[in-house]
Amino acid sequence: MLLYPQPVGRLIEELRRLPGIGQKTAQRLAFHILSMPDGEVGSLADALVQAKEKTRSCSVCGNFTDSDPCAICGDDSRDPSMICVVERPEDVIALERTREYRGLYHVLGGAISPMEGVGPSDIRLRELLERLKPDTVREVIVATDPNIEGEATAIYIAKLLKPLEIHVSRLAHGLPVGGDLEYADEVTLARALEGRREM
Amino acid sequence: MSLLKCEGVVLRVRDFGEADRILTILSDTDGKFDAVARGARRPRSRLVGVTQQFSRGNMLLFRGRSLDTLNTFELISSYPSLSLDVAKMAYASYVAELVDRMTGERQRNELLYALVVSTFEALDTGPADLEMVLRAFEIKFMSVSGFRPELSRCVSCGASEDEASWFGPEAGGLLCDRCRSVDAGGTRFSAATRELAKRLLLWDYNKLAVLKASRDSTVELETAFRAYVDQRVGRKLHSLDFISDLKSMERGGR
Repeated sequence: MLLYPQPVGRLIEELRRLPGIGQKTAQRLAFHILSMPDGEVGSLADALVQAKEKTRSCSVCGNFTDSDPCAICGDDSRDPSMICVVERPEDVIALERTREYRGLYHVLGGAISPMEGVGPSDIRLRELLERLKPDTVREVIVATDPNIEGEATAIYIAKLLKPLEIHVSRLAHGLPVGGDLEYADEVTLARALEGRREM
Repeated sequence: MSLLKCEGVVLRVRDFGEADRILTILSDTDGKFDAVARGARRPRSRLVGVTQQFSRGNMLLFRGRSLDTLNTFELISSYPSLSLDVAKMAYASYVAELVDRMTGERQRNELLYALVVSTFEALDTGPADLEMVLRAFEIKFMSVSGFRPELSRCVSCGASEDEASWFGPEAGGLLCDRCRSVDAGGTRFSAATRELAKRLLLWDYNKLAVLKASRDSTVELETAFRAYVDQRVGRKLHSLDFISDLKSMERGGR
């Protein structure tokens, strides 16, 4: 016996493909969509299609954009002498929220991961080197994730850029603002001690 | 809900859901298993720094029906240089991937656990010849997993080791000239290579620095062990491709 009408079953299957969504959540979302007004469902479906159709990668930085170059790369008020290297487009959004950084970005599209078969040639390192050729960049800030893959990628980038004599910096590791020292884990605390600075 | 207290190393880390991680852990008492570390990707989580790949620690877990939940992780070592050196990270990844691929769930193997810990230690702080550490790991790993290759006589007819100058990955050890044809994938394995393999099997990692191996022997050994591992694993490991890429890039001057 079929548990759901065929179109509902298909919707649940499609929703289940999304990250973090299991059978129960997919079912809940599907039944919610069925109870929504027709206009809202149409708008949701249209938003999905439009987002996919109109979004592409920026030919300069690799971030998602609907215009090429993207709004950040095309902004003359940004500092072209600094490039912040991140793993994913979401990281650009996180850094932009700080309103502290006024340079440009470079999205690698991942990090070096031997166990997942992601090597240096699988991420946008060649494109990064191309961007550094015109000699306008003074500093590359490596903002890959502070995990094993992110660290290895950062070190690889630092090695790669050494002959170019560009200043390469790495985002600091340490305690979260507002956190309790007592509850910090050993690795984070050790990194915070290593990275302490003069006052 | 029952509790599990054990010592373990993290072989693999995958992101899960909004802020969780799924860890593949090799433990001293419970073998290999997956556990979820809830909220471990959030900066304020007590698990964020310690649940990195290759970390070793004492753990407390809640047993679940399909997945255990990590409650606490007291770090013993994070093997810091494995994340500060791309080559070391690649070699440690090979160790983790091979163990993950070849080991069944919840099969207690204390020798295997001790081997993985000592291999991570050797890669982190030990001798500079990473390739030799890896060859030693391969033969030790095969041995503790029940696939110890025959290195004292021809595996097919029993002829003495002095007559056996070939290694058959499918046959599982030395082959003499007469039996060489029983394994189409057989490769040259000189007496010097055989002695090197025996030392790598029996010696601790801290002794490896004194080993002097010729270029021919290291090449023969790598070829034979690689074929032997491939034969047992059944398919190529991702980290091996990565190591090859890394080597060719170094040769290319990048």
